[in-house]
Amino acid sequence: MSDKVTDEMLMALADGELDAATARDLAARVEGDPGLSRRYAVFARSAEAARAAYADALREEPPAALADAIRRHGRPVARPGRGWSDAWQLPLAAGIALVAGLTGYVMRGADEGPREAGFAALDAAFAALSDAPSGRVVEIDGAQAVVLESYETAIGPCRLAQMRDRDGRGPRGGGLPAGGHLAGRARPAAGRTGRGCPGRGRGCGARAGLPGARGGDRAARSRGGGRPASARLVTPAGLTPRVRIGWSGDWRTGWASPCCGSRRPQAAVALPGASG
Amino acid sequence: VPGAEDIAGSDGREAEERLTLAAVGEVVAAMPEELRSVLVLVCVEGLKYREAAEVLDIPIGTVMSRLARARRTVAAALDGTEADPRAGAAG
Repeated sequence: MSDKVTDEMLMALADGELDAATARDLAARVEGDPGLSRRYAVFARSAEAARAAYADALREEPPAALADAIRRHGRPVARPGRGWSDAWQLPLAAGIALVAGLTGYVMRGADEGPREAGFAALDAAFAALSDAPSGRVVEIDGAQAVVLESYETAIGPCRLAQMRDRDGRGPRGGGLPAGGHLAGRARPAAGRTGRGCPGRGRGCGARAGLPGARGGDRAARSRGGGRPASARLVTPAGLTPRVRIGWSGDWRTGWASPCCGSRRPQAAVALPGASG
Repeated sequence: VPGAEDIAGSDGREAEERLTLAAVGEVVAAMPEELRSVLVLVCVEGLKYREAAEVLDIPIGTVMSRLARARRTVAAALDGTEADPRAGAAG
C-alpha cells in the first residue's frame, strides 16, 4: 500500500469498499495514527449523519405531514391496507411526484422502441395517474397501474405506485433510456420479492472499533441478492427524485422520493382491488 | 441552579441532536446536485460505489471524489464549522 493515504481511501474503508487485505492494513494504520484517525472519523461520522438526516426528514411513521396536506385539500384521510377507504384522493399537482412505478412503464418502452418512446410513455403515464385516487387500477396503454399512497417529502408530495404489464411480464435488463431526462439501469434479479428497501442502512457505515465508529460494521453485512433497479429522472416540475423499482409477484413497485431509502415500502403490498 | 440538570438532560441532548440533524439536512439540501445525488445513493440508498457510478453514468473515481467532498461538507456541519457545499463541485 502506498504511504500516502488519501481521503478517498479512508472513505472507502469507512464504507466497506476495500478488499479485506487492504482494509486490514489501512485499519491498522488508522488505529495507530491519530491524524489518520481524525480524518477517518470525518467519513465514518458523516455517513451516519447523512443517513440519519434523511431518516429524520422523512419519518416512516406517522405520515402526519401527509395527513395535514390531505386535510388542507379537504379530502378524507385514508391509508391503504389499514381498513380505511380506498380513496386517497389527494389532488397533487400533476407531475410533481407521480414518478413512482412509472419507470417500469418507461422500461417497457425502452425495450420496444427508441429512447424517445420512453419519455412519451412517461408523459402519458403522468397524465393518466395524476388524478387517480389511490387504490384504483388504471389502464395505461397495455399496462396496469395503481397508486398506493401519497406522502409529503422535503421537496413536495410523492406518490407510491405499482405497475405491471397485462401479461405480467417483468422488467428486463439492458438499460433504461439514457439521456437528459432519465439515466439508470434496470437489473432485475431472479427470485427477488421486492419487499423491503434493500439499500436501506447499507453501504456507508462505520467499521466497529475504529475512531468515530457508530452503528457497528454495517458495511460488512450481507449484500444479499439483487437490488431494485434504479433510475433517476426529472419530473416536469424539475425535481429529481430517485425512483426505485421492486418486484412483488408480477407487480412492479416503484416509489419515488429523494429520501426513499428511509421509507419502508410496506405499502408496496398490493391493495385490495389491485390484484386484477 | 435548581432544575438546571433537567434542562440540560436527555431532552436537551435530544433537541441538540435534532438541531444537528436539521443542520446536516440543510447542508445536504444546499449541495450541488452532483454531490447530493452521490451522497444519497451511497449513504442513504446503500449503493456500492460501482453501482452509484452505473446509475449516474459517471466513472467510479468521480463518484468517490464527489462523495468525499459531500462527506467533508456534512462533517463540517456536524462540527458546526463553516463549509461551502459548492466548493469543489466539479468532478
